[in-house]
Amino acid sequence: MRTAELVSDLKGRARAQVDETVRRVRRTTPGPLLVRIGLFVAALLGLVLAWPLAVTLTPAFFAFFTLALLTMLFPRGPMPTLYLFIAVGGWLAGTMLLGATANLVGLLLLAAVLYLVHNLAALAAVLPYDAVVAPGVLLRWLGRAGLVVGLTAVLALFAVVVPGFLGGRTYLVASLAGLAVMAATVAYLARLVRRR
Amino acid sequence: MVALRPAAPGDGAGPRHLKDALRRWAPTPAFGRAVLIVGVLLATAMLLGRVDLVVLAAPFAFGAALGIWRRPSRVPLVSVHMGADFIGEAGRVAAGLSVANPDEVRYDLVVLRTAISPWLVVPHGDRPYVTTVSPGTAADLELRAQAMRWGRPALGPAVAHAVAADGLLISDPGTGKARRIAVFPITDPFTAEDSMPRAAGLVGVHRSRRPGEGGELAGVRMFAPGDRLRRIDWRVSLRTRQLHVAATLSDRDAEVVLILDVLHEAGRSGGIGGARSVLDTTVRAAAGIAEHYLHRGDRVALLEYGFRARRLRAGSGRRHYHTVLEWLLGVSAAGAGFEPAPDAFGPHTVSSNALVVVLTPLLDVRTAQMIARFARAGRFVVGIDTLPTDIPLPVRGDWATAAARLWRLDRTNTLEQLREHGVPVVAWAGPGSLDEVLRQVSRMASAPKAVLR
Repeated sequence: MRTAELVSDLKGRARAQVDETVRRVRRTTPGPLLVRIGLFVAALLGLVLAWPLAVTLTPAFFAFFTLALLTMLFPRGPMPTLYLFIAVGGWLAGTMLLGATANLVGLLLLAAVLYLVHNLAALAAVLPYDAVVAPGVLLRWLGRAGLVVGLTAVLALFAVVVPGFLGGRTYLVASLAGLAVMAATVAYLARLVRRR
Repeated sequence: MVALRPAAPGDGAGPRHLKDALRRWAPTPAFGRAVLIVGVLLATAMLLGRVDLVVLAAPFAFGAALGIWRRPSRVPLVSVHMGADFIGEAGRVAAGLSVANPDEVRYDLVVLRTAISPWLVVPHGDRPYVTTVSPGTAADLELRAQAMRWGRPALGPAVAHAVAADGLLISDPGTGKARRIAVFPITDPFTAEDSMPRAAGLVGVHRSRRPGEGGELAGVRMFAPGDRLRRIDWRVSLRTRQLHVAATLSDRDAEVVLILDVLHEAGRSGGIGGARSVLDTTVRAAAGIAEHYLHRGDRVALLEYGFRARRLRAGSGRRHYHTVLEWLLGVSAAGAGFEPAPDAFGPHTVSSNALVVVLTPLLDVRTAQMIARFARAGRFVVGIDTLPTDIPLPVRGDWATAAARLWRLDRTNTLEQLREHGVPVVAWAGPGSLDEVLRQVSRMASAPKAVLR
């Protein structure tokens, strides 16, 4: 008797969960859906760019697919952060351990796509799934992301070309100064985050 | 030179420092993510001597820096508009939400939501709206609302969260106060041809059963001292060779007291065009009866039989009709744990000449006792049964059907007991509902009564 009640209870909960999911899917509007799809595509592309082709063309691709899907489904949680570390880890592993060659275009593409994942995850996190989005909101958002990517391209050119003209000693001093600035900035921002 | 601080608040320029701005704006998880990614990538770049990691970290750093460099510091201002102060049931009204950006920096986007009363149908009103708002401007959202039931439904409060710095900062909610609209009930059509049992004065438009000055012809009779000359019926007088006068019934006003039993709500309201609950029938019928008698020049008072004991004094005229409608909007079912104060509902609260109409579902024995007290005190009481005929009864077992039948029998018994006390009870059926029972009450009022000496 108790088992039957338990099964009945589980069935009821499952049915309620399915109904809720169907209701949410029906209420989903095109704007947020577009953002989520864009997030998924960018996340999958980022993993393909980050990891060497030898890894991508294995069953690991299904893991990439799942990771991109999870990032799309849960943009508010730690999934986007986890995704970014896995992608960067793949880039490091590919270039350091698996002998992949890094070129400027590939690096820029990866930087742009990873930032797009971060940016779209931030948008998806604040955008309700059933929201009516005014025309122009998404285009303006993507325009700002494009501006950031453009600035990154300039920096990338600078970072790749300029060290060739500098001596090793100057490069070390600049690196140490950059590290100090970076540490101060991160500490300041982290303190602001903790204040909330 | 001393710089004086202005006595009045300034132009509302918000705090410009990030720490101050963050009092009203919170960093999102994306902010923490950007900080973490930049920190880890740069540290790794330094340790491994990898410039490519700096390039990977660059967009995150640029995005955060650009966003925080020009950041808003003030939260959005939200307001709710309603196109009218009152409408009738099923009426439509233009409504709107407005969200303004008082800052000097554009919001990336604003997520605007509003609460809506259940009986106010607003197409797509339950969805959040996302838009951008330029500095110093406002974005308006036009809505169209339809009121589905009497009452005071509200649109709002509306809440808006602004997002800035490419999703790194989110504002505290800006809220707009709710706006209520009075939705007057559609009055059930009601007419009563029969006269009032007893009038309170010799003015008014009611034809009474008593002879006197009035416009309603009662018959022709012999001239008697005191009759006015202009009442002489010359045609009959010439034919009979004796003076005859046209006798009329006096015109009188009367007082109608509507007692609304709100001890219990029953049935499920479907709004306009849908099923009716007890309160729906009560309010719409009361509005119809009040409109009818006020239109005829009578005075109408209302009384809520519940723990609140709300009362509307007797009055007449069109203005009083609007007051009645306003008063009816406040009708709500009393909580089960409250007892109506006996002193507030005694016969002494009602004029002895008034017609007392009790709108009740007769679900509580206290209502029957209250009606019986009025009847015993000699008031003219008429009951209107407001219980829906198709009210669903809970079926939770084999005994439920029998219990329901017993309950119905008990209620029928109460109705019959009230009739024995001289209180006719009829189901509400719109026009002519009260004609039969008013005739009975008038007959009883004019009947000789035994008086103890």
